[in-house]
Amino acid sequence: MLFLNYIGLALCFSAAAILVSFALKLLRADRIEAKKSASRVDGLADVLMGRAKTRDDWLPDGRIKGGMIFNKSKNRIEICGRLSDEAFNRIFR
Amino acid sequence: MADSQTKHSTESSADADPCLPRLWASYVGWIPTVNGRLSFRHIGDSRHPTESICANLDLSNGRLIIAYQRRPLSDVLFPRIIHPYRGLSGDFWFVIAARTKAAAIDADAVSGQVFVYKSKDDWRSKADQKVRAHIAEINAQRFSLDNQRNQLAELSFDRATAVASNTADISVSFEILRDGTIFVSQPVFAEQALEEASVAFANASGLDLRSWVSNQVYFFLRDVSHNHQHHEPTSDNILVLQDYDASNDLEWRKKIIFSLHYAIIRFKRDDLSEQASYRALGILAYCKSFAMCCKTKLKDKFDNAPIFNEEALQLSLTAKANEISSRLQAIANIQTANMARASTLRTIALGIFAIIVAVIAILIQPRINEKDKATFPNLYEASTIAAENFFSFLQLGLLIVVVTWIYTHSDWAASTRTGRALLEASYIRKGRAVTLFLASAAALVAGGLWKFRAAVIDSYESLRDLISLFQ
Repeated sequence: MLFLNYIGLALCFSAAAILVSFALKLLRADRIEAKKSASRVDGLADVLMGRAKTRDDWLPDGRIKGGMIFNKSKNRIEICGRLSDEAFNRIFR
Repeated sequence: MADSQTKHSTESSADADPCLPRLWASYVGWIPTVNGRLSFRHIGDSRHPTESICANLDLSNGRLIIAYQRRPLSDVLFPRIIHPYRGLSGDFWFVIAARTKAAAIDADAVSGQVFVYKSKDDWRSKADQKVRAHIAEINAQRFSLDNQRNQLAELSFDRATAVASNTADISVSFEILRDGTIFVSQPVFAEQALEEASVAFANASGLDLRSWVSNQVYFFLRDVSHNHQHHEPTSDNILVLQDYDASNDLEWRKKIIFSLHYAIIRFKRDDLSEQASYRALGILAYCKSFAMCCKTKLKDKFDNAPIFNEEALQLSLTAKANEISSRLQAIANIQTANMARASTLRTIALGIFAIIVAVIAILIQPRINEKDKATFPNLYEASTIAAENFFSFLQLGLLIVVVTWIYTHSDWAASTRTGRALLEASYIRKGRAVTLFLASAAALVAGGLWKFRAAVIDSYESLRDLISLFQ
């Protein structure tokens, strides 16, 4: 029983350490790149739903990768987009 | 309607005349091929984004290609949570049914259709089993010596095409030329309500759904016919389709060249990554290949194309890659030398210390007994504490090892899919997110200390006993 308590404690501390590593990653993010990318969304809901604004012309948008989803309840295909891997890696190098 | 599209695109095969205008096409693009001759033999065989199921059979009168692939196209973060909650589906099934109209060595074009299924339910209920069975039938003819090999394979191909044509939600005609040029038609929706609702939703965001779907078809065709070498396979943003104007064969080519150079410049501006410079070099190779294809096709007309100093650019990119590489190597060398020196000295110091402790432990071991207890009370006490708390120390040691191991295992935040999604969701409100992460970490530590207080108390008591020896 005591051993399980140690295991539980180890898991809690490990999860906390991972959260701290996320915080450190955010603190070290490239400010300018993050600002440019953040301008493509209006808020957290847009990011979660993959609604980053993207350019739709002959030149590919380097910052956003585009995809699509099918909305079953509204029977429609919706265009979606999120940060490209290239843009993400530049922010969180 | 879909049937007529198949017939149309097949009839317009460029095997007869590669210079004919494709009046049925609305878009044109290029599938990168560095040697200028795309291999049709490998079309359909892909492992990105998922493994495709394919048949690509060379017959005496042409090649038959039929393949399908699940393509997770959702850009929603945390799709496993949000998709069921919001009634969304991010998996689309793409089927390619195409053929050449000449023997392998003479074929200069492959033409056919791509069929898109909007959901797993559609695919499974309408086409999955039948298409898969027909693909198996075609593959079974690969080494067949049957006199009717061609007819049997073509029959299976036609049946698979008919199944997809009659059941797909969207169909798109295409033609790929040997030099990588690809012509794509407007998508045809099987259900008008689906088309209208989808187009209206896209229009509200200022986007063109038809060109978007055609581009997704292009990405699929690119995935199943070329190997991504100079960019991450998940990034499709180097080339997209261009509007096709049958009377102007130069304009779209200029745009492709500009797009490739735009990608090169994007990678070139990355001052810290050696990999980015090498990727830019790779894309420059594609750019040169495309320019060569254009020159072959347009001859003198291509003289009006934009001129880039590609040799100088190549030298610059190579120099930059070498510079970054040598700088990183120099830093790595210094770090390695410092670490090697430090670790050697530390190892020697630790070795001497360990030998001294081991020798002393061997010498004092016989003194730890009831008889010498009065003469060496601290030694006896330390032995008693070690014996009484052996398992506590062992578990505490394990706890420290586990936490250190997990923390230093890898870059959890940026290397896992969930980690990347969490970072992407949090960087737009950086201050609040950092506070939230740190507060959550503190809460976890506090909660863990309380919930598993038996372990905390045990550790505390063991350490207290140990420290009391030195007081």
